[in-house]
Amino acid sequence: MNSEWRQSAAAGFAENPLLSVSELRRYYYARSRRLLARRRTIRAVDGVSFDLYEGETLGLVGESGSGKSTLGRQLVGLERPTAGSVHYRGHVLSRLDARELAPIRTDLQMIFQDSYASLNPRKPIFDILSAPLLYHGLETRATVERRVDELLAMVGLAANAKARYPHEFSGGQRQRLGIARAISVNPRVIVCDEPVSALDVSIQAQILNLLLDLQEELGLTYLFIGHGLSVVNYMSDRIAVMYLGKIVELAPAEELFRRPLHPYTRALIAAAPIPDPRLRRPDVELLEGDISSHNAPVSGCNFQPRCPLAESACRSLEPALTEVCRYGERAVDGHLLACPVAARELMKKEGET
Amino acid sequence: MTRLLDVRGLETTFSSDFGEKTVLNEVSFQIDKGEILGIVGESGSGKSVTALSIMGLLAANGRVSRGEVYFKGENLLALDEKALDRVRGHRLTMVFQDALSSLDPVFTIGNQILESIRAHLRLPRQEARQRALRLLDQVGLGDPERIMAAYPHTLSGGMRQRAMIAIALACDPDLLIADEPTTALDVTIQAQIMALLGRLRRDTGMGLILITHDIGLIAEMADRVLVMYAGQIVEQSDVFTLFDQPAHPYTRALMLAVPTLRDSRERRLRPIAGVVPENYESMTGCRFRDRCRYAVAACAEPQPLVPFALNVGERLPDPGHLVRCHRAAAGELPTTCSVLLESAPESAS
Repeated sequence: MNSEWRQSAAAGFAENPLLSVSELRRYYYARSRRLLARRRTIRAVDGVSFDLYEGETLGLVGESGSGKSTLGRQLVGLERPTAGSVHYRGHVLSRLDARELAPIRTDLQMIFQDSYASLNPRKPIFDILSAPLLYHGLETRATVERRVDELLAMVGLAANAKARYPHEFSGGQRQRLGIARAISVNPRVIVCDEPVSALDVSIQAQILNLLLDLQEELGLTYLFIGHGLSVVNYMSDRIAVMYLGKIVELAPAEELFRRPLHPYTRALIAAAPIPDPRLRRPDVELLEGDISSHNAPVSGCNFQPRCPLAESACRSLEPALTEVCRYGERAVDGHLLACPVAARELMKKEGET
Repeated sequence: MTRLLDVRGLETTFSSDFGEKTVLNEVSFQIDKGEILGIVGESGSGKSVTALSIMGLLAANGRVSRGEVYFKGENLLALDEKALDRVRGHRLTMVFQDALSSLDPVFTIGNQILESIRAHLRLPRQEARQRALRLLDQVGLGDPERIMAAYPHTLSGGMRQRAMIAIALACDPDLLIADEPTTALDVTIQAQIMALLGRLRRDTGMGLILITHDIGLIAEMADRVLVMYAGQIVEQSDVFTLFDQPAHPYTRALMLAVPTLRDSRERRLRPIAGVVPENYESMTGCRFRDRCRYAVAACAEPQPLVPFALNVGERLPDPGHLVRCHRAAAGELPTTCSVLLESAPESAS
């Protein structure tokens, strides 16, 4: 991908967003252990808003349980949100019924983490790849085979794969099949849900490069979900960091790694190993506890129980995701932060210099 | 330095209805007190089989068909099960990747940790309990009383992994083998566990074999490194030499295939073409040659692990640096500097 394009993509978008998420919430309800006790509410996605622009890759990082996958599923209409909306080309996805949604679904596709579970083990590859084409009327019985061959070639598989079954392929090849299926219906947006987490490193790079090539070739827009920071950094123009159902920071990729502001983002970056033994850090500041040992607090900031910067106000005030104000030339468009304490410290520091 | 473990010419064979397969071959290495040995490789490279062979925990159809494993001077392979049990779980312990299936679901964490303490140390009940609580606290599990009474499924992944580490540490082992201990965990939890293992090594002089596919973790933790590919060690050296002067084409390819946070956005990853050959155990010669950009006809000849004894620039060779590649050893491959330059802006495959 050439760097000019990347920069123009990352530096503020003049045009309208392709897809827009506003105040999206998805709650799950779990039965409580005690009879007659109130059911527990799990707020998997809890008030998330962002825009997705044509041709960009928005990375989404966060630990397991942060709600990244749930968010991805709302985006392609696999699940209905509890509240809030996904806007796409003048439609609000949650207000459409199945029949109205069908033509839009071809625009919004998904690549899953577990390529084995997402391919029907009883069907040969030809059936798997031709089904969506025939269902949406994009090809006829007569023409579909040529298109399947073309798709296999695009993802780097031989045409003789058609007659084989998913279990006959390696993990990397199965992920290629998942990609072929996603691009078959000419989508505009693809949600990539940890597409390489289950793969060996040498295979990971093949799949990541394939996704980049296809993006350029087909003008795709990606929401790239991952828990590995370096992989998300490699793929993304902008990155959103999620913690317990909320976006805590969103910035152009380079800016996020050069100047992470949210204490959680900083902790994530500090925890990622550096592949150079000469850069070993004697004592990194580590986060205490883990995400599930602190279910979202009743009020205030979700990260506050683990946060090194927490103040008493953090327990009562819920931080909003707002644009970071900066002085002078250092201003970077579109750096959003949900931590008033970190924002205040930044103001103070930059005021001094 | 006290030699903790000395593995010599280990070869492990699995039998099935289709015959025998030697999946591990000529594996030799040593580890000293207080040392961290990293073993890096992809799935199927033989890292876990190496660990299981040392521990005597191979599946019923597997056996060590050649070689010796000396632990503090005693050949573990010559011991019967009863004698082995005096060492295993006591002086020599192991942590597995999947804590949920390695812990017994019907016993509390307390039961499982006390079982180990009482079996090996024969402490009275109260003392054993105190020791267990101390261990749980030491591995960073707050509220040890509650954890003692908890069943594995009620804990989070990070907490289970820590509980398993506490069990492995229950009798102050001399050597801990950790097989992908943090692969299933989030990075912040991984950092906590690595800090814990590093602290234990420093405080108690415990030796550690860290098995991982993550080259970043190796850089962060290991003193010496084995790189494994298709059941063989392909390169072996101290960690600084490995990162300054990776000699084997596979090691280099592995380093160029992973993205890092410090990369410029224009760097294109270089994938390793192809996959690990399926019947590698029957291959003579280099097992990486089909995927190697430097392969020549002579690579089909058997490849011994030989010292890498070349000066590179100002650098003197490190006597412990071994490589299983005749071209690397003969200095026929580009030096590392040029390898890294190649990965700078350029359209890759």
